[in-house]
Amino acid sequence: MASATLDRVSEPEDDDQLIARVQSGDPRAYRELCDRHVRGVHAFVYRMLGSRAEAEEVCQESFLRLWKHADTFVSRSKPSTWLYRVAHNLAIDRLRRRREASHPLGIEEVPTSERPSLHLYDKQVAEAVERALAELPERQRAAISLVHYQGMSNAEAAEVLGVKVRALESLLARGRQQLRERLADFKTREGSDV
Amino acid sequence: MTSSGRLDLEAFERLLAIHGSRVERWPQPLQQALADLLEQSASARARWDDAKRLDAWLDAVPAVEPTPALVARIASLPALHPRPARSAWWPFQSSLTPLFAWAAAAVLGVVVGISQAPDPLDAGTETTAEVDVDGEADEASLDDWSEVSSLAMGADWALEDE
Repeated sequence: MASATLDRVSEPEDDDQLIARVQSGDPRAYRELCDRHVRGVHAFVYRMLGSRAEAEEVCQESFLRLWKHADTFVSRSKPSTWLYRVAHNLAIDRLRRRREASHPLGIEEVPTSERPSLHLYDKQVAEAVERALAELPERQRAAISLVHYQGMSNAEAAEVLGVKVRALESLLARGRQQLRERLADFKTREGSDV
Repeated sequence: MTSSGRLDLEAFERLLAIHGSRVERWPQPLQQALADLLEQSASARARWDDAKRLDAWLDAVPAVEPTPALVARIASLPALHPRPARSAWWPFQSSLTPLFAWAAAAVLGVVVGISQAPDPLDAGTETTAEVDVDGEADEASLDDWSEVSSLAMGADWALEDE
């Protein structure tokens, strides 16, 4: 009996249970959701924006909306999907404003101290892939980031982007194709190395 | 995909562009067909290796971690933006919420009430009809009485009256 109670107490709550508590104004549940998703949301918006400062602002704003507007969450989607959708919309707003101000999209150089130690060639590959990702159209970049890096299913990624699954699949296919073309030089080099 | 459940090269390439080289991302029912095709077709294996290379390149990009300062700022948002917790006796977010609900119910009631009310023209006809009916009813009741009477008294007696 006692062990059953302990099991129930130690069993981690799922996101649905946590969001219900956030809706009731529970800051501990909010912090638990943050712990689970802050890294993913931050990585996603950084890939979308290519700027650490803007990624931090968008990430913070996304979690603020989670706290303040949790009651607008509708339970037919997962809380994480809802959060990524908010973050995606905020990132798209940023990109639109940046375009209006004619600021080109680029990827900031991340300080070497913050990168895991990579060999020179791996570093070159990583930089080339980051550049190639940054040059993709926004939706293709978002689709690849959500599916490849965040590990979302195609259906979840489609929900974040507000498109049908078939449209998401088309974005993925075109994105991969463009990446292959942009990284063709590395394929040639790897082939000659072998 | 052929009707026999085998994957042809054209379908394979289309699916490869969508799902990449991580088998677990492929739809479950296609995974066996994928394995069969890769075993049989050198051309499919070459495409698969290309896709694996692309996925490996994508994996080579390290994730940029959020700074501890950002994590702390995000964690402290509830303290900076306190929200009133909902109590059991007042489950609404805002004090105006029930007022809006009451107003919406009132408007709905008025709309339904208006749509259900009888048409004034129909009502007039009905009144006239009632008058007519009453008149007819009087006559009818007389007729009925006569009939009843005639039945009761016998047809001959009624005829005598006329």
